[in-house]
Amino acid sequence: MAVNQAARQYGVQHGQFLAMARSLVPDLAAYPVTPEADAQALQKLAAWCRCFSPLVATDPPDGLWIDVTGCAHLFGGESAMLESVKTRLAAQGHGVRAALADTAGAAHALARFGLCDLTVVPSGGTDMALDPLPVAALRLDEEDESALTMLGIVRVSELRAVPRAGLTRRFGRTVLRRLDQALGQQKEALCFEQPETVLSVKRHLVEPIGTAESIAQVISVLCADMAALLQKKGLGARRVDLLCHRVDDLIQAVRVGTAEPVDDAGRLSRLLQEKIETIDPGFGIEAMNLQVDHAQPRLPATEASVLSPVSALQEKEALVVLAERLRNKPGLQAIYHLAATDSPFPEEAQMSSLTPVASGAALPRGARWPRPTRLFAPPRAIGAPLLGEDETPRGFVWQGHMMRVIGADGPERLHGAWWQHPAQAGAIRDYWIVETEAGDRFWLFRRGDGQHLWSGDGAWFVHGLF
Amino acid sequence: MADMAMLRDSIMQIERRYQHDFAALYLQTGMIAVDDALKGGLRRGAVHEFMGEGHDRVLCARPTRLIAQILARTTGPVIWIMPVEDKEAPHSESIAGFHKPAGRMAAHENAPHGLASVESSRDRVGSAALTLAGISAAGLDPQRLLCVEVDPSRLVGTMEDILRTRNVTAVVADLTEPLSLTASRRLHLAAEKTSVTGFVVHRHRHPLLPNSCWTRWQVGAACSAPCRVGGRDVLSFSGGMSLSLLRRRGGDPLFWRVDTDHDASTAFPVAAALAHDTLAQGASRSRCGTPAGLIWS
Repeated sequence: MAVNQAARQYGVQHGQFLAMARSLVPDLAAYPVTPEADAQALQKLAAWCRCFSPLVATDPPDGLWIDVTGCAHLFGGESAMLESVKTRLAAQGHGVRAALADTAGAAHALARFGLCDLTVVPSGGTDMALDPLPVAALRLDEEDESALTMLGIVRVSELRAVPRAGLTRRFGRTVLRRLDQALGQQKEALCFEQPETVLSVKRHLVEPIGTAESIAQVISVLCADMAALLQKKGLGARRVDLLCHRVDDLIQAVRVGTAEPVDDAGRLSRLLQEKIETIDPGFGIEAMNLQVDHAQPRLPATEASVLSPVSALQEKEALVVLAERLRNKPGLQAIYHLAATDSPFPEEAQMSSLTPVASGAALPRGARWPRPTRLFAPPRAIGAPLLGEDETPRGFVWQGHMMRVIGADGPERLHGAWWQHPAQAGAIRDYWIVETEAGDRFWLFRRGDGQHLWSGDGAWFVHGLF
Repeated sequence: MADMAMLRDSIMQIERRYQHDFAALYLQTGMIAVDDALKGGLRRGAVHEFMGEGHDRVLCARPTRLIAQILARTTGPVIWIMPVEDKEAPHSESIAGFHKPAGRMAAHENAPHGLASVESSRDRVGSAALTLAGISAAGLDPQRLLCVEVDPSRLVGTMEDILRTRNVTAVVADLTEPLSLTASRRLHLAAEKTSVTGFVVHRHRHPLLPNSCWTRWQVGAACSAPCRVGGRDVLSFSGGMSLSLLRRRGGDPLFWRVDTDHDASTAFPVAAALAHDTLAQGASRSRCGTPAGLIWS
């Protein structure tokens, strides 16, 4: 009999007979054991836990393994990740004990027999952490466990001290295998749950492959298969995972995303082939699996005539395809279109957007005023310029040189966007375009209207060149 | 379908040799004298270098405007590659989106593809310093423009990669160091193959190395004619420029001085402001007619 926290408070204990428990708590709610339903619930929980890492394996009857290699930093470190696992599962009503260790066996042991609810074993400290635990922590049969106890071997440290040959003779290989798996001396293959994907195609290779050309070849074959599947279902892929199973049991994964539902084999394989350099084939890849993680119904495209020349629509599509390819390419920092905002100050007058934004209707207010093509960011501060009697700049110092102004246009007064930034309430800038003797045109501005302190401190800046 | 596209491409490449249509071979600059001297304009499928002069040497506002004006006369996508200013690039994770280090199956449930989070990259548009208002004032439709930010060390490689893409009109790259001979040859080969035009803007102060770019331009300042209204010196039109063709294949260096005509989209609407004055219309027109060099057509 298993009990929950509330029942435990009434003195009901794990493994008690139901009749005894009933005598303690007459209105005890008891449910028959349903191993299938439990297993299903565990599966569901495993699927949910994929928010922590894509590799989740079940450890029946009551455990989950999560391979967090390379994921912990996303949660702010390993202990922070465990905290987050615990709190998120607690929000769902699960009480958990968790351990993070180098090997699955050690994590299993420490999660069940560790001192605290959450244990993080530093890399390489597995032996130390396992030593004080009872041998039961090593996933042994009851028979072996009791036999070991009869021999006086109670802790893992004692088991490690016993000569291996004798142990094997007496208990067979199981005990030592479990010990080695926990200590990381023997590899343990976990059966990771496959996420429920929309579509998946897989090719097993006769010979392990390792060259870029052969990987590209397999990718194109897989993409052709996948495209046929997608077209049959009327779907387009939005996110595609390529899993390369290596001969040494490791999986190399590549993920690409698309800008729109794609069912074109060529386009998919181009996207994936860009990523080949990120795949480490090791001793060779023996199977490759292409999965569509996220698919959307695709609008039927009007088939253009094969012989027609490249149209404007195709050109627009070419830009979308190129942007998609570049976004999936490693090493590029940002890919965006420029879009106008309604901020009056020039440095905030634009933002980056994912899709091209039609101008025209949303023409910025100041569009009729000249604007430089490049701005200094941030604006370069200059000393207060000489002003004429009508407040026109007559000369200023720029990078140590005195600039004499032979013509000026302005001021163009801009008011801060108080509705967006409270700090800009009442802020005013006066912009001048001034031409120097050499013909250079500078874009100067004064922070403030020059009279009232609330509008700005009156400092001058060069914001750009025309 | 793919075969037909390939066939069409190769036919186009063959036709290009016997092409007499200037628009397919050259990018017109819009300045008649310049186009005449270059026998039609800037050659398509080649790489052209631009540099600023004087105070504009690093900012390169004038070359940018010139390139935008030239590209405004074309159709099709334009890619502008810029170096990332800040080295740490704290948002690289969210923008690279799908790049995972090899050997690790990582990561969080992604937001929809490549959500190059508008919020996070917004502050960095400033450092890239290309302004939407200026570009669209020069006539280039921002819908055609795709900006790419990349680490300075990978800039030329990215440019070559995009030059190899068909259906792109032009690629512009802001360089922070001189272009080496090898790199320029690679760029040229890539551009020639796809007939995508490459523009290189030198935004640095280093001396330029000899390279195999088709032309090298220096765009500098030119004084505009003085214009006095009342007791005040005002600016007449949007500024002129001096245009030097420092180097070109199979030709001598050339020099022009360009004045800008009164252009409704870029100049102050002085005439409108003075509309109550009967002289306003006439004055505006007479001021247009004082070009010292030649006029934007």
